[in-house]
Amino acid sequence: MNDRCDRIATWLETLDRRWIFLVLATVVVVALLSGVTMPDRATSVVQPIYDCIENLPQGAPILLSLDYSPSSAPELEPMADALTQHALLTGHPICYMSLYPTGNNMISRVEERIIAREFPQAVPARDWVSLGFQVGGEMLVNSLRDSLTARYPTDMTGRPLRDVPALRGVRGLGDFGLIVSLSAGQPGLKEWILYAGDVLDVPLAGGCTGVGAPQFFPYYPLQILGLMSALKGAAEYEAALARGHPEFTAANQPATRGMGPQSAAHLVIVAFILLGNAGLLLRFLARRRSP
Amino acid sequence: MSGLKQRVPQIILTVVALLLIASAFVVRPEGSNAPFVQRLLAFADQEFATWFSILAVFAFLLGGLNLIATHLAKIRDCGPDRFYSLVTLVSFLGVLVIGTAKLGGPPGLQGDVTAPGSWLTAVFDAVLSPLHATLYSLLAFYIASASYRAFRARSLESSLLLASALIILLGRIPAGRYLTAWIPEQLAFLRVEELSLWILRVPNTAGQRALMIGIALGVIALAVRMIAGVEKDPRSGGDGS
Repeated sequence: MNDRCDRIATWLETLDRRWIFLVLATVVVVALLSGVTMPDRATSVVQPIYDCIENLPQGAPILLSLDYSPSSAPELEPMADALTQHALLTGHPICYMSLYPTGNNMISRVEERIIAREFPQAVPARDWVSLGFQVGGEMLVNSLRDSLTARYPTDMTGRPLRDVPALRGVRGLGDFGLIVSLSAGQPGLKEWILYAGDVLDVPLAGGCTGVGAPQFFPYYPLQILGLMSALKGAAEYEAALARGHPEFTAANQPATRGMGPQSAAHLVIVAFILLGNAGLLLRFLARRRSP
Repeated sequence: MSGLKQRVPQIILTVVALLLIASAFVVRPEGSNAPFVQRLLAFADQEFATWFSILAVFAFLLGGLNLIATHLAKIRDCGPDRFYSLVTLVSFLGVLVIGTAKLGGPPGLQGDVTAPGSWLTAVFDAVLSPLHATLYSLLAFYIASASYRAFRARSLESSLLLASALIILLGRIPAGRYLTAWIPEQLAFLRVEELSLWILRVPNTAGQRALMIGIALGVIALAVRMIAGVEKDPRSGGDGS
């Protein structure tokens, strides 16, 4: 009996990691192909962002800073999609910008995937405007406090900002109804908190990757009104949007679709962790029984 | 002369730092009737931000030149990794030419380099995005393997870590919510979703704040030393002692 416990424990301790890779890959591929989805609901951390947009004055512009690169897009892009859909459904002009050098492309992707396909009636410069990337990080945010035109004389297409109806009445960052930074690292949400949210009377919310979430929770709920973390945060926002705007449920929900494979991957990892601890327990029992 | 080389950067550093610190505590003036000092500090805050951005652009240039020099040296020395260096250089210069010439996109200074149809967008969509996605999706496999080996209940501390990991892993998926949905409403705080939020909002926040405050105090101490000129600073052109 002891020998058997010992053998199993040894096998579990020295398990080749390629078995873990194989099981994980198989489970994720099966979940992806089966199209299994798990509807979610907005938690108290995500719901305030949805409520803020719902309660904004009619036509109040929203600043959406896409502070990420393609590596973080699977987690953050669904948030950009859902926020864009929500803003356009509720008639709030969106202003896109980025602190990341790859930001212009990330903005173009949202424009092509969401605005062009799902809101063909949306008018550029009236319903949305893309300012694009500017170098500077926190100093850029700092200089935009007083004047957008100081650093962005034109939008990405070369149109002067004074000719952009979406930004009518917007001089600096404080004139936006809401600022949201979808942040993959630095510069990102932290810079927006320090140089915009904390010094201006403007609501600020954020979205971040799973690994970045712990560092932003200290700012919630006083300095940021809500936080979407990882694909789960995006799925929660989609759930809130689907509940508040039933017409949205027919639209594309990438985060909700992605939660199926992600749930499967998490469950596999939990199973392997439990298996590893079972090995530890068997080793302990074998040692206790041995003379 | 060497004294001047040390003192001038130090004076610039001290003046700029003091102005920026002061400007953070001054409300931006609404009109031209504001006191001179208030207007000066607001002007400094705005202008230094612009200068910082100009300097940051030069940092891009410096970074590019450094990359070229480093990889040219590796190719010249015929080291074992020279082919990787060659790929790096060709990729770097290729994308640089495509972006600078705005190939396939609207021309002119105001032309958007990332406009649909531009070559840079094609490179971004066909090369950079799949590469990033492939590289980062591999992380899931390494995290799974590392979790299997690291989260073992060998001691009280590691048991706490294990319990936290399990709660967060289950709390960050809808499946976790279904697993503990049977818990009655009065004990809803015991549901895995609520527990994971509690871990993030209470123990995590406490630890993060302690770290942030500690780091901030360290940064303040370092800044004061640099402003006072007692910190060794390579920018001063000497050892700063």
